[in-house]
Amino acid sequence: MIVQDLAPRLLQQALRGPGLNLRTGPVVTRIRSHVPAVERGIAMHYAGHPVEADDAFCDFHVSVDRPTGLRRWVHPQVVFRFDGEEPFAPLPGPQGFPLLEWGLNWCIYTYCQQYVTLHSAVLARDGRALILPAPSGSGKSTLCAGLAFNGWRLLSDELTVFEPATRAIVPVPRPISLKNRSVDVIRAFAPQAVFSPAVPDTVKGTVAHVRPPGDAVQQAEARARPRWIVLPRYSAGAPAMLTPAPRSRVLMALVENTFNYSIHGQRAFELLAEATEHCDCYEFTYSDLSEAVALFDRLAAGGA
Amino acid sequence: MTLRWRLAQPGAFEWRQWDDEAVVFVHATGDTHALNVEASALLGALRTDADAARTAAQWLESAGYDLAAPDDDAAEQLMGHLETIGLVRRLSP
Repeated sequence: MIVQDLAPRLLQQALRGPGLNLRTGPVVTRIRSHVPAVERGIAMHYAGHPVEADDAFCDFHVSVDRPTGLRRWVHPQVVFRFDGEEPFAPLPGPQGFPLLEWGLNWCIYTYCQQYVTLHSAVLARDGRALILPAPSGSGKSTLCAGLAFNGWRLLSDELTVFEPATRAIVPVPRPISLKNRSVDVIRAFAPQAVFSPAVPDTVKGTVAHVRPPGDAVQQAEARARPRWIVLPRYSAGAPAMLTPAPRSRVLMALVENTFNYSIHGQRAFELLAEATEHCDCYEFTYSDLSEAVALFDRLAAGGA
Repeated sequence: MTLRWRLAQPGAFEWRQWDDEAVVFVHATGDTHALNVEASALLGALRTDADAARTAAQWLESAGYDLAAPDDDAAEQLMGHLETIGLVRRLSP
């Protein structure tokens, strides 16, 4: 069963009752919420994701709800709970769905220690993964969304999840988070994309989420092998340009973007060094998304 | 007093080198560092002769750098950096 198989009433009953056991790649999360925007967000963005049985093992138990007390009614807030604990400060009420998304990311990079997890977008062509490690503001998610709606399979816009034993990248296809001007850029570039309402005044500015393409969700079990590592940077007015990057710099970028590097230590170093060794490594500047997507198409075809 | 230097200890770090630059993972600290061309060459020389103890200038020469003797401050500074991150140790003369 997938989420869209549930009638709205049943989805609401699950979220307000025992929880919805939602599978996202290798992770099953039991989600509870009484917040209508969260219900709508799950119905919209996770329509194609599997729902596990009520008695299935769940990796995480989370909720997004109104807090108790005055803040339930006056300037309402929402709070994310993980196993009953509140790891984050409450946020303004309209930020319920973004809070759920940020919380789910946090669950994975904080607790899935069987993986080496990077802050990085990752997509694939024919099983070959394109890794895009970069800090916020680099244009990573915009580029990721542009590629995800133009022939590349989305594995994640935020988390590159390496399985050390197999050296493979495990997909965790979930909504793409866009910020500020990127929202309008992708609306224009990919008219078929399904957006949630933009939520203003978050810590990241105005945020909107985009439903992951259907093929990404359907192929959530198809792992990919690292093939390209690209350090993207948006630069106003710059032509789309791939420049070979020194591998030492690329490896350091991977290390700096690995959430649980200190936990894995040498194992993570060797894994990332191996990926760096076997991948084509580039720095990438761009300003025009169409140019960028065309360039990555050529890269996948063996040119560029 | 001129210091002599040697590798911290065999197996103290993991090392990957591409072109002229290297990245090292130091077991004792769990830290990872990028090394520039000079530091990479120096550490490369130290690795190939791990038991030897030489002055910083001698190590640099063995790494292929021609120092303008007797000023080896730059070499000492480089060794000091490698010592700080746990890759080399100093010995009494």
